[in-house]
Amino acid sequence: MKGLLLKDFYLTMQKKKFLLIIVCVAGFLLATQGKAGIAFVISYVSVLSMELVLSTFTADEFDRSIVYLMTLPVDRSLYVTEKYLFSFLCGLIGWFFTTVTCMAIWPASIMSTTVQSAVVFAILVVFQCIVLPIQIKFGSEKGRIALLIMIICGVAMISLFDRIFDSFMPAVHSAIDILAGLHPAALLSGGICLALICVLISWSISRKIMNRKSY
Amino acid sequence: MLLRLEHVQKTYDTFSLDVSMQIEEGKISGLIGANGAGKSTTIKAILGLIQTDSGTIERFGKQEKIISAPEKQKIGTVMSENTFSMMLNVTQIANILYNVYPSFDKDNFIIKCKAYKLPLTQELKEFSTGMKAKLKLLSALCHDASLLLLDEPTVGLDAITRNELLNEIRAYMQDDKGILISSHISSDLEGLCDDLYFMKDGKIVLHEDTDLLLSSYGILKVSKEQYRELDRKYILAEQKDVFSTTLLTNERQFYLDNYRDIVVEKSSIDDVMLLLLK
Repeated sequence: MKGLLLKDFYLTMQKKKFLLIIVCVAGFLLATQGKAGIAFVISYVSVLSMELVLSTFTADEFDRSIVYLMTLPVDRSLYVTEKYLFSFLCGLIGWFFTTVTCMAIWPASIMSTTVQSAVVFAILVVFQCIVLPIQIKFGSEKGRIALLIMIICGVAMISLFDRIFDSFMPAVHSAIDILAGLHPAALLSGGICLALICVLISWSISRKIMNRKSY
Repeated sequence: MLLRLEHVQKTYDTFSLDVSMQIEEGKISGLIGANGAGKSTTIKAILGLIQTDSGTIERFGKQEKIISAPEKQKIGTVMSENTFSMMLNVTQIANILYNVYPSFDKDNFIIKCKAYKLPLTQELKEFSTGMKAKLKLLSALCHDASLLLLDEPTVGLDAITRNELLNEIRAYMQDDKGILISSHISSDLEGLCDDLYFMKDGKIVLHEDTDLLLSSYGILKVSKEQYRELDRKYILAEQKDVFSTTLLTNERQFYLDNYRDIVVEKSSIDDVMLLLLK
């Protein structure tokens, strides 16, 4: 596991310019939007940090170095676990530094920033649980297309439900209102539970996909 | 026994593999065949990189469908077309291997890389074919593997580099270790291997000790009349042209003793390969 994490760390460090751009854009957004932009900046940095794992998939597939990786004493489940761990670690590092920065700039809003950013992170984890099995199944290039198709289908389905059922969007809005009205601790623990369940399901699907692969 | 394959089968649309072989301690076995004969597929099957349709693979005395990480620790691998990501450098690779193999000798690896003049901080994409081949072999040799699976380790290399790498393999060999080396360069295998597996269209068509192959096998060149009168019970393969026929025998002495008027020559691995695998 440590060896694979090290490999992905080295590969990610090749993207220094990309990392610098993330930091610059986040700084610019915080400077221009102020306190109102906290949630967006935290989700922006967290999602891009989490997606750094996609470049490691690309590197593994490029010139098929994955074939050599699979000859090392690393079983396929461990490879999948490492990708999840690396993705969430990167996301967590991005989330942590952005949240701490926001807290340092606006210390008065520590509680709301913490809850807000934790909920954002839990939602991003759920999103990543969809991205990772797609990447493992289709590879980095086809995976991007598959993800795009999936997002379009999701939006189309919501739009279709909205047209067919008159009460669909009001029901969604009222569900969001109920969630917003929950106690922050309940919201946070619910988010974490949901994220953990999604990770478990997604990881087990990814393992099955990986175990069926031939090189 | 380090490795035993019993009718390991895998069928693709245009190719099917059916291999039986065994690798013993203290032996270097060669797997020889033309491009596309199934050498790489065999090595991939051993390493669990492809899912086989049927047959059994016994690694280190254990017969398991899925190769485990501890078993992989005992195997050093060179894949003909694959290595680490081209974006990594030797120092990074040493750190990764050190954390992947419990018995990886990082200091020895770095010393050998320096001895072979491999730049430690240069990305692999800047490496020449020879440099990549050296790195692949050194990566396989530096974690005290009991079994080496070397898929075309010398392909695309000049004679000097080839000789250097073959010497590394010879030096690695001990009584408790075994090596399976695939190649289509027969001269590499002739001076290295104890026994040879000849592979054609996914099947082993001949398995023979190298010494026996070089001492007992022979090439016969006969006319049409001589061919008609020839006892062909020791003939393994033949190739006909307009005026004569070239035959491969595993009993050269029999034809030397009984057919004084026939040209009987010693055969090289190349001759066997040409006649058997064509």
